[in-house]
Amino acid sequence: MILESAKVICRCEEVTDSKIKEAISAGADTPDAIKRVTRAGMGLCQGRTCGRLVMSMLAKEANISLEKIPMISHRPPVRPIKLETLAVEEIDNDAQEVI
Amino acid sequence: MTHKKSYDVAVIGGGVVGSAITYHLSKAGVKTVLLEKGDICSGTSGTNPGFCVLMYREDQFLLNTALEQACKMPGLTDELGIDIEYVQTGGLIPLTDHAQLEVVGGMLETCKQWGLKDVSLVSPDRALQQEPHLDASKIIAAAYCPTEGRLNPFKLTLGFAHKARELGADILTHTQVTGFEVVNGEVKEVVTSYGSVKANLIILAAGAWTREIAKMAGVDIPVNYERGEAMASIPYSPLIRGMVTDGALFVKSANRPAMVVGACLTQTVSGNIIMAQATTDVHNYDCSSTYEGPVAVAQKVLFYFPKFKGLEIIRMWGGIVAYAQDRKPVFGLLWRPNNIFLVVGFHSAIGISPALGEIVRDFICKGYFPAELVSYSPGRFCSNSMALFLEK
Repeated sequence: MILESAKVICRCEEVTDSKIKEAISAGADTPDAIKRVTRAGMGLCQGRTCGRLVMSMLAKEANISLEKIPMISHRPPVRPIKLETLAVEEIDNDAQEVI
Repeated sequence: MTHKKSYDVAVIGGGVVGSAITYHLSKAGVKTVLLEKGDICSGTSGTNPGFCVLMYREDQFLLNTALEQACKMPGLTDELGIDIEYVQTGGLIPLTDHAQLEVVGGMLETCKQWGLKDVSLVSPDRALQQEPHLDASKIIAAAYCPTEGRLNPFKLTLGFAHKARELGADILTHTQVTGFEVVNGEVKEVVTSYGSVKANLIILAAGAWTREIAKMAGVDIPVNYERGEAMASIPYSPLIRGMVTDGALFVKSANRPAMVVGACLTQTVSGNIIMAQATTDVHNYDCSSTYEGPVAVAQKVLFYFPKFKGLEIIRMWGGIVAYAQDRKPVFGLLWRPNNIFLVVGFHSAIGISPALGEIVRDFICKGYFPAELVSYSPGRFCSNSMALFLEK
């Protein structure tokens, strides 16, 4: 029975489908709300793998049509970036002044 | 909504403060509704690193509130039935020059006078015991407080909201306030995107959105906001023990630069290292990340922690933090309409949010208002309103 329920939806954070269903039944009604409860989408790939799976699970469980479900929020960077790579970028000080 | 529901209290804002207030009111049997335009914890509370600050509180009352709250934090995990991941990690403020030493040293003396005993200036070597990966050669001293801690803002906020719902509160998410029905200087109904809600008292705890909502009731409260940028790494085994706050942030330069940058770090229970902060004035609730912000933060972090050059950053974000014109909290009833209670502009509110919930509950249930908070009344923004407020 344990194996049956252990379908991993978010591989980065190892979040199973039962955890996601639990979050949905507790009231999470967007992929971001599910993320805050379960961490699905908070890992290395930032939901680029599981985002759509979570959306379709939400559509099915909460009986909402898929097109009404917002995407999981996307933030930079597109791929993981090393701190030192970021730090060697030069900042245009003139540009900073006008912000 | 076909029929209008009536409540004792309508709380506007599903951040940590609004959720804590809703929880404490519901627990006391007050019929409460929470109105949130997005998801619970989807605004500023969700962008917060979860520092439970002690060393830089606004005044003696709030320091002691934070201190008492620090002792109660571990108990909240049982009370709310959710692990809020509170850890008493200790906090460190590395200091690189004498100007910083003077300002922060003075701040610590004030802390001691106010009753925070567990705080001291320590040598670079002692600072290394707290943060072994710090480059001690960069600093001349550090401020250290072993009783500061960190928690998970998502878990705390959601814990309050879920428990409040169990206790009978209505939690209405995706419900945006669009106006107020005011009769004879009193709000009768809150108009929302989801219909109208009747309430005897409105608690406005909407952070950066407070000004816009207060304007709907015909009042302009000078609460502005600034954006703080942060980023997070992939999980690592423990590298940062507690909270690190850049000493440079305490020294006010004559000309405030367009972007205020400092290295503030912590590591979550999950292992992600959170790095902040680059603060800029923004408009239109702009929570985006800039190009300059994360670069400047990365440079500052590597100044203090050169060993962290290989950290893999997976996410960057911005959060808009509310502050009143005079940089003091705003707490109390508005003059007119006379049944809107403002709770906004507390810095590092996360560490005192449960206590703020209790204070608001005591005001509503027992009519008790702490004398120490009177000076934070919104009446200070209206020349004649202070008299009006005190007359009540």
